[in-house]
Amino acid sequence: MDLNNPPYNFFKDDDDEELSIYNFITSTNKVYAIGFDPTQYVKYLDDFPCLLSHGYGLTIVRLPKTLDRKEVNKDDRVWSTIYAIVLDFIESSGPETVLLYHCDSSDNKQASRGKLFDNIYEKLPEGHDMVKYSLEVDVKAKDGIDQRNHLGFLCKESFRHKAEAILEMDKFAAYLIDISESK
Amino acid sequence: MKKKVVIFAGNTNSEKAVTFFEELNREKAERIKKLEEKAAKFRELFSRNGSK
Repeated sequence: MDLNNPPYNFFKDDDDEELSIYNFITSTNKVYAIGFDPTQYVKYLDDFPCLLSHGYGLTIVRLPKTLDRKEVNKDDRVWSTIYAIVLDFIESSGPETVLLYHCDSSDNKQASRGKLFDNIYEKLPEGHDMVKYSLEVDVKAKDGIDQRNHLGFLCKESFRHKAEAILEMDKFAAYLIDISESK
Repeated sequence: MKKKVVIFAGNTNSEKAVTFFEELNREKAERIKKLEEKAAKFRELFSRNGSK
């Protein structure tokens, strides 16, 4: 993956009142939609002002859904485009923007989704100004079928409340462990 | 930076944690569905306009 590859043209969907949505189409006709949702985690994060006050749930979808992930990974321009979209969104929403993500685990493919966020971050161009902080939450089950969950956030390195946001994510982790008493 | 959290089986919170993530998944599914509809609409418009 090389985020120095030129991004595809992307288009902002201005019709939606709830989400900020960007679309792009690849050279092999795969369509992506990237959503930034200010309400997605509000009800969980009311005790976490640094994460919440400028927090947006980040969701990435691709059509067709059945596309082989290895095929997607071959197209470096996809990742450079997602990165360009993230920068464009932060440019418009402000330097205090926090992009929150949680990898859907309903189909047990959360690990590859978590890897996607790891890969994008690891391949950012030299001198980039982004921070990623992530949680892996393993829930051990009595029946031996454990569930691993991936969640985290991205923000600008220069975000003035970055340290507090990281502390809040740690507090959130503590909340998960002590979930019966905190909420 | 990455932090790992383990919630052990038998801990009374483990079932609640599973329920919590199931709820997150349900809410995520709503967003995914909406974005898939938007992506499909975009593809249709893009095909109709025939430009990149």
